[in-house]
Amino acid sequence: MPEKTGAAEYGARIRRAESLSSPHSSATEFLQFYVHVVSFQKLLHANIAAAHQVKPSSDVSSELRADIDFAVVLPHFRGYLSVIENHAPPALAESARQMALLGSDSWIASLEAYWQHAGIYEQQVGAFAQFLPRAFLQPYVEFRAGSLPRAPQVTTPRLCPLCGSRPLLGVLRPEGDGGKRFLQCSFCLQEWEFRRILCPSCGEETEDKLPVYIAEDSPHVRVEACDTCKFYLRTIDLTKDGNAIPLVDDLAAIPHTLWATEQGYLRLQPNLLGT
Amino acid sequence: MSPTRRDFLKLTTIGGAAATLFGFDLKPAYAQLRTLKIARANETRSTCPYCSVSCGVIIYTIGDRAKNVTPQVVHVEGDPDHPINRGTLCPKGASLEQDILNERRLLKPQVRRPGGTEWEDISWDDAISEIAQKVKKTRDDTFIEKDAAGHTVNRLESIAWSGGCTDTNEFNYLVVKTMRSLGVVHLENQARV
Repeated sequence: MPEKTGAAEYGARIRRAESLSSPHSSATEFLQFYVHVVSFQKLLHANIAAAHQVKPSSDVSSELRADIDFAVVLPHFRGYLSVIENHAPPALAESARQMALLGSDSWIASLEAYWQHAGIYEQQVGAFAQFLPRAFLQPYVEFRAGSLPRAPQVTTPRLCPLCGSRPLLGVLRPEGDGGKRFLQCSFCLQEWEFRRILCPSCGEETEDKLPVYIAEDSPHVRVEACDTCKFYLRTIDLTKDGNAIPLVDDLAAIPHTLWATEQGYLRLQPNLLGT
Repeated sequence: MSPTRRDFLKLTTIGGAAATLFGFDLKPAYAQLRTLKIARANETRSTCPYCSVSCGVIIYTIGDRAKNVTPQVVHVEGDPDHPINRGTLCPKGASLEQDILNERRLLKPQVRRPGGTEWEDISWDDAISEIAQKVKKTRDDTFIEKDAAGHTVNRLESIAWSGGCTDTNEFNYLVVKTMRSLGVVHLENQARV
């Protein structure tokens, strides 16, 4: 399992997005925008960490979905909206501009709505509408999740043991001569162990009904589908490419998403950019 | 006022599924999609056939499941969820793919006659008949009904059986029954699968 998220992890995401920008021509526009987003997230994460060092009594160790500490995050929201307005494609930039015109009460309502419900309900269609609160709160939720104690895992839960959200991604990490599967949470981005050859949506375990689709030119990106419930899990195989950063390589795999949709499969949860 | 689930669902369904909503250009992605060579693989859990440790493996087969296509094994790796090996494999286990796909693998029975230097092909029927004849002749010639002291022993010391590690428990049960009925006493199995 990866170490706690910090500046190094954000730096790795930036570098990976930059390195994938050129060879993955179809994802260049997405990744160049993502670099701006994650650069902002890196700064925000550092600010959150600094604020909690100054004020160590802050309540970061209670339940993950406890109230947001708006005194820490809200001062950064306007700056965030201008980053999006300046670098996003037109539709999203307009959305950020509209949000900037609203008052802080509306910002709080939007952030709280996302905070309380994200990842819990089926929301394959919500990537665009969720983007503004999701990208902004990601560093905050990662910081909080990193501070929570982890109980030893004895079962195979299909929802995040920390926050109860649905998985965004599968990650295969080297274990012996194979790859152990972890699921990455769509809300708090933490990983938990999950058995191979088992559908995280419906629990199907018949091997014939769980095909894995792999493209020749990107063997580390897997579409792990279920022919029973027709959902699929995007999985990044780190035994095939140890340089991959699951969160970033997932964003770059746009053709895989289009292909899976053509085959009639639905993604369990959309990623940040709906790819 | 705290947001309700209804508010949230309203928020999430304003847009739509595709990344086009963000305003990104998906034409390059569609162009790349047409060049993707995607293969369907199936992962199957199995047990390494070599030794009595019984390591878990995952076997990858590809094939589009058409009736006239035989699925092809493309990769074998350790099963990370298996409690015995947790994904590890010894060098023999790690080369299982070559055990399944190997041009030197024997696909038919062969026999090397006494004094011969070459292996000859033989049909399954002929092989089984010859083995049965030799077993019967050996047993008829060497069966020991009583030992030197006159005790009834009914044993056959001129035939031995050594079971392989790929033999299943059920197969080994039948082997023991068969060998004991012949009187074979030199009998060893590797019962574990």
